[in-house]
Amino acid sequence: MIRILALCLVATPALADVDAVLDGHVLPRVAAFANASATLANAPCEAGPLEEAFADAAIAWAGMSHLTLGPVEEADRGLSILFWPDDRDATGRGLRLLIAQGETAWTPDALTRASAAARGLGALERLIVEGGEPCLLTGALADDLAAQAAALNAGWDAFAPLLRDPGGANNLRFLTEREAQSALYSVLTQGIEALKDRRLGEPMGTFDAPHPLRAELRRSGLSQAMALASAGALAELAAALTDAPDTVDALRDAEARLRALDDPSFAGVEDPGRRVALEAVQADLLRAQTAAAREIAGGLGLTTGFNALDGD
Amino acid sequence: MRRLLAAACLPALAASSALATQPAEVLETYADIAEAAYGDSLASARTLQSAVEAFLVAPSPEGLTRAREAWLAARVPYQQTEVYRFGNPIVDDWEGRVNAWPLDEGLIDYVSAEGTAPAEGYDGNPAAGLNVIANRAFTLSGAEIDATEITPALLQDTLHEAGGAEANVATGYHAIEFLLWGQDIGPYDATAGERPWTDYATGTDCTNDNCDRRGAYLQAATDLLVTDLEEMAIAWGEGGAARQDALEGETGLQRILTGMGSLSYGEQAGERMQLGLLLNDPEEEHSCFSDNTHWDHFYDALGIRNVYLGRYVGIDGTVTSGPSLHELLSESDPAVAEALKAALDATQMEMTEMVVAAEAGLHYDMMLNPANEAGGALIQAAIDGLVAQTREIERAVAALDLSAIAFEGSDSLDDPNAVFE
Repeated sequence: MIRILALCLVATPALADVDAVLDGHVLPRVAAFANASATLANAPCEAGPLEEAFADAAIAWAGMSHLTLGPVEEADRGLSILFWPDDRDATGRGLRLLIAQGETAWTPDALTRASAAARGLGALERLIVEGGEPCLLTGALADDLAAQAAALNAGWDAFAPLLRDPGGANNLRFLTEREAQSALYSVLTQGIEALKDRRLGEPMGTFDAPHPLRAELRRSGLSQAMALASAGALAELAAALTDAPDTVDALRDAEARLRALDDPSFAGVEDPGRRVALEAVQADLLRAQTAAAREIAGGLGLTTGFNALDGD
Repeated sequence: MRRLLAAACLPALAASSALATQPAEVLETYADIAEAAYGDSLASARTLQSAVEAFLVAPSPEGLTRAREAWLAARVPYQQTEVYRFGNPIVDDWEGRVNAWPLDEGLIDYVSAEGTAPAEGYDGNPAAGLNVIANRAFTLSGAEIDATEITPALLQDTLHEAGGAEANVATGYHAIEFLLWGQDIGPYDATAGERPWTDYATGTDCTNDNCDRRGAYLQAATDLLVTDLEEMAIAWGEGGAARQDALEGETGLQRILTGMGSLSYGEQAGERMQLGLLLNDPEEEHSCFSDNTHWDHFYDALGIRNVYLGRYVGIDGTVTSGPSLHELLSESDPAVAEALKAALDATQMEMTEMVVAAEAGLHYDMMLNPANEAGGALIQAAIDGLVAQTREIERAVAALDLSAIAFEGSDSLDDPNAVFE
């Protein structure tokens, strides 16, 4: 009770630093993904270089996949960059169709109309890791990914000013400073939720029914690296947003725990002894959620917006 | 005590005693509309149940048509209740039994490899090709299952979400829809599922084998739908648990807006509509067997509008209405109230345009065809409307200063030990 009252009355919010978030977090990470995707598109069609460039692009995506507002939100573009979770194997279905359609369906223009699941990192992973598929299609999908990443980067150049100038002329997206701050806070909480309940939660399933085959990019053994990159990015975002030491600490703990793991594809979810390490990461993230609600939402008087995970 | 504090913290609500519309009255209307809409859902499911019984006693083409018509009519009130899902834990916990989707229909009955549905098991769902109608015994997640008798219990307790795969939908509207219409084979064309009535015929007229078991499944699934809807209709009646929770729970008006926003954005705009458009996949069509998807989306949107404006038109024409969230919000922030109403109206108009084209012959799966740009644009416009109205819903949450309620309701602060630290 006392604590609630204190929050209500002593609300002299610290400012959320929108510029710091954009300049120190969002824009560099969006640019890094565009660069990594361009490198993948330029890689020679050989297993070694392709796998390395693919991993870099995937990890760069994990470092920005929480930035679902703005250019990514438009037409749910994130799904054509990585269609995951893919409970019903839409990736396999879409890719089979694309291969069957042949080269005329692999032009840059045709790919923009293909199934989102047949595009992006998920489809590229099948082609690169499972091998034996035409280099022409791999190259076309890598070019398509690079084009999407470049479009995101350009989209942020146009979107960032809206966040910086809420209530400005013609800015219908953000009417007040509080809306801009709430949007960034929502991105943080949604990112933590996605890391905890999806990147970790999908393969973990329940103790009695784990689902290791649902781990993100498990075929290329990048599940752990993706989660690690995401935890680091979320800690960076929380630190840039406002003074939120407990939130940042909890996220850094999750990051350190993920770094210490040796479970690249999260196959360990089936082994009670190894599973416990992932449960500890989830506990850190739960702590981060609680701390963020108190330090950031409570401190700034913000509300969480609706997000894509609100459905079932 | 908690209530007093909340009032002290929240100027908008503290001032409410001076306003004409009281939050308690708004919640009363909200519960009344739920009672009416779940009551209508139950009544129309009972009509479906009678039609199915009549069809199975004496299978005929007309009997199948009547059952299909009853199913379509039953969707009208039910879809308008979906707005109650996300704000009400009692509804959300129950909903998966009734309207789960999408489904791997190969779990239930025969499927053709020509269709897009999985015809055999895969990583995410090893039971996708189980076909319980054709198999009296099988292994499921390592357990031997005796399916000699197809009963409501077998569907609900053993098959539904078997192996933790959400696509194992053994019960509810869409399982029944599959049994009435069958698989929609042609993607992007004007045909719906074309199951022949003889799939339920007796003796040598029976097509695709196991007609008696198929009939038993259809009957069991329909009976379950009725008992499940009975449960929810009672829960919203006088003294019912869902009504009580809505009226007396801590979240108050936040509950209404949470349901509206979550259905608008994550569920409908995202999962049900944008995903289908991005994948161009008829598997992502909500009512793919019957080609009724356009109406699903239309009535979902209408349900969102109903709870905001405090008005529901029942299946017999009875109007349920009362003090509304719109009226309450108009008193404290008319600009936000009008913007939200305008956004809901705009979405409803986009949905109407989609329905008009679909009823004129451009079925929803034809709109999903990547080559059909005009059809895709109709769906996209409706999605954009849902996304835009979500922003206005967020503004309504902020205008009513409901964030503090949600914050107060967080786990940490509700923990009594934390309070006395």
